[in-house]
Amino acid sequence: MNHVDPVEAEKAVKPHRYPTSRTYILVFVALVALTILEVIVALIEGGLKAPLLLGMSAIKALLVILFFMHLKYDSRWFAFIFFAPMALVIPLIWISLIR
Amino acid sequence: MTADAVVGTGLIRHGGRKFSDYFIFNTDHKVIGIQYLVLSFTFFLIGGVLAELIRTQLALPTNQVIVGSRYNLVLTLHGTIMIFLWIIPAFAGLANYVIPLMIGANDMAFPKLNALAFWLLIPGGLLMMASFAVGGAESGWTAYPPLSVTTPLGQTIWAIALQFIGFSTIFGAINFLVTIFNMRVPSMGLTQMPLLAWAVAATSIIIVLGTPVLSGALLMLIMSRVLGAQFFTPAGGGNPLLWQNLFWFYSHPAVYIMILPGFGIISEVLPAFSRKPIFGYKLIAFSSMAIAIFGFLVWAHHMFTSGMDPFLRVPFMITSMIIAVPTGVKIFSWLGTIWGGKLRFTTSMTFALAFISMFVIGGLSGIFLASVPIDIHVQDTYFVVAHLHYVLFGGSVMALFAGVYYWFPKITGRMLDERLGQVHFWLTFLGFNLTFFPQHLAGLQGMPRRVFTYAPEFTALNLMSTLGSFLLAIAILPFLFNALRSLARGKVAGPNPWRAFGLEWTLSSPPPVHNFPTPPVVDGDPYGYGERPIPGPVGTPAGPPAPAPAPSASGGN
Amino acid sequence: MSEVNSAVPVHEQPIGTTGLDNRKLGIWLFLATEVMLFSALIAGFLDMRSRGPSGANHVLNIPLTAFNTWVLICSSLMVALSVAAIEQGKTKRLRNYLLLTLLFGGTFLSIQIFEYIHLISSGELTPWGSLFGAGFYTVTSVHGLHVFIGLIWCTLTIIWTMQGKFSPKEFMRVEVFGLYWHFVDIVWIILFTIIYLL
Repeated sequence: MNHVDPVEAEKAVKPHRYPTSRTYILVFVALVALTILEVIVALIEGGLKAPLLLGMSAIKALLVILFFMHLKYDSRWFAFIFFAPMALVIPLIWISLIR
Repeated sequence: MTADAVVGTGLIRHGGRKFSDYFIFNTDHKVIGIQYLVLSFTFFLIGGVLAELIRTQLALPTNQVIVGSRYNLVLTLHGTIMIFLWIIPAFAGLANYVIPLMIGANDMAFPKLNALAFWLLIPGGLLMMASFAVGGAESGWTAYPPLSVTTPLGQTIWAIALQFIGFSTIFGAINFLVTIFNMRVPSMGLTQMPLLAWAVAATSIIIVLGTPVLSGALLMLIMSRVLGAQFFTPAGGGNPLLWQNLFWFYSHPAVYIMILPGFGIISEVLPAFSRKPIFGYKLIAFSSMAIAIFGFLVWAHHMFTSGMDPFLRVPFMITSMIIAVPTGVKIFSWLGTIWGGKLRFTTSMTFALAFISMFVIGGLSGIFLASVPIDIHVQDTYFVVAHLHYVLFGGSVMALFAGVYYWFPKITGRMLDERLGQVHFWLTFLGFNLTFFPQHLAGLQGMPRRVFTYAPEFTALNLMSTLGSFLLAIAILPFLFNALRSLARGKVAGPNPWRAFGLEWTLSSPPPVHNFPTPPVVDGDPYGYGERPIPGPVGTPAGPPAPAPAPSASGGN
Repeated sequence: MSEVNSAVPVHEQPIGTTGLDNRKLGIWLFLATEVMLFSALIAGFLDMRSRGPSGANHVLNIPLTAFNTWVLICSSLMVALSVAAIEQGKTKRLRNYLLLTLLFGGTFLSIQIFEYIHLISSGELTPWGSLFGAGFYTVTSVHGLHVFIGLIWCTLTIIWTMQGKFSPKEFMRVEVFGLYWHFVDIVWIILFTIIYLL
């Protein structure tokens, strides 16, 4: 980074465009709804159960990360710091599950 | 408040001018750096004594000096102490001292966290020594279960000690990353900062990503030992390979934690004593990052003979060979640096040059080990012991000494005696090679590691190795004597005894408590040898101007 | 500290810094370490779960834990609302939302401890009794420890609030605490799914 990205510089300087309380409450409602859905899905059996559950929990996690933790509104570097380790997490978990 | 005043007089202070300043919770990075260096060096001596015990036992095939569980305890603590209480904290200490100075900062980003990181080494070190006293940590520094689940109490204390030490390194790494990325002087872009800063940044990334995994593995070990969890014990349905995977996921990148700062030091020392700019700055900087990332993709090469899925050995063999490339890039860049240079053979430089050749030898034996067909035969033999000591001693320790001889004048204001330095170097170089080179042969001929007796055909090689180790032990004496005597009566160093580039050399030796009175300005690459005049101390004709009454926001020179 | 100076044109911004706040950068790096820690523990849990009989998690109380999950999500909402409050300078509201965070967080931990006591004393699930148990107790207790540390941190933040340390211009410590707490919530979201529901 020999120069400061103008978009990044602006983000650092402008008053925070963080979500309002209303957004937070909407996200909360979505989280609760997804949790209830998950519990219902957990009662079914079948091949779709795992991907559905994992998908829903991933969406819940993303909602918290993007809105509550402001990743959607902050510098992209924070997102990089948080998500880059996932690249390592996947081989770690995969390897430890192989016979 | 003058630039040189220590702040505070109680148990929390900032700045080191009196002896007592170094024994309390001091938030000055220079004090903390010295605290780290002195503590880690003490553990170097302890780990060295343990090594001498091992070599004494192995001088003869059926010696009875130290045997059985006690021998295993000694070798476990030798490895653990050298890795976690000597090399890693020693580099952390040197980096702590030098990095803020190099980037023009007045301290690290989080000075209190910095002090906390150091002080966590005290319970960590005490618990580690307690585990030695109590006995029981007998499973090697690699602590493989099922053995490590059933060993006596000391193993649990060992694991808890490592947790403390792990926290210490993680806090340090976060501090280094924020400092390096956020606290350079305004005119210093990332490609204008010294290569040691790149090296420490890469090291810190590895620490942040890898150490927590070790912590998780240790937690599982503690749960297994204390609460009977069957994570790793086949009898209970568990999986020993789970430990090995989690352990090596950290411990392989850990070896890059132990070498990258050394690479950074070499990149600082070689230009200074070749009077030439570094060759391939960007190559060295980016290859450091490449090593940090790739280092996470090779771990199972420690497990080729573990019974892991045979097919998986192939990708790990490939990645383990690829990882030699970025290091090779560095070696050639360093050779390009000294090529055609006006070499000055100070002790620092001789250690740095020896580093290059010794580390290449260690790297070559590493390539052998990366190859599965060869590793199957030499895994768990002295070939591995030779490899690891060539890279860790011939590599890391020699680089560390190059750095110590280089920055000692800056830290203490005194020069180390060069003749004693040469004695230290040559005794070390000879002793080191005599100790570890024969071990390549012993391993190739089939001598296993972690044994306290061996077949008589290995006697000559072991005797040679033991004699070499005694030479190594003697070698440290001139250094200790030199350091202590120079502290008291060494020649006064002045700000820039090596006539080196680097912001640290524009300050007095030692620097003022609060470092730079005004933020310095840099105007180009950090190794301007032969291209620009050497920066003198602030305010002198050759140096940057003294602080102006009203400095401008984007001050020029 | 090291904020980009808006009075200087962008192309002349200092290159010696990222412009990101030190403390914020620091906490995100710390969260990266936490990602790796929980990944290791989850890897251990999944390995253990796959080696034991299936259906081992049927001893767990899904309705109670679903309720507990809701409790933790509520606590996250409280933290988010507390940040919104101090952005508008409403320090009393900040304090109140943080107190609610403490309440919800404390409830979560209490229910967890209640669950542990029930499972262990009845012998239904113990760290030594089954592989699933080993994995379960290891990863959830580390999570619980993080909640506990979060409660202490929350209390400290409340004390700082009452000492008047925060204003719309300076509330980074609240944000930093919030980031930690939300992360602990995310870990639970994942654990609830892979331990209890799958």
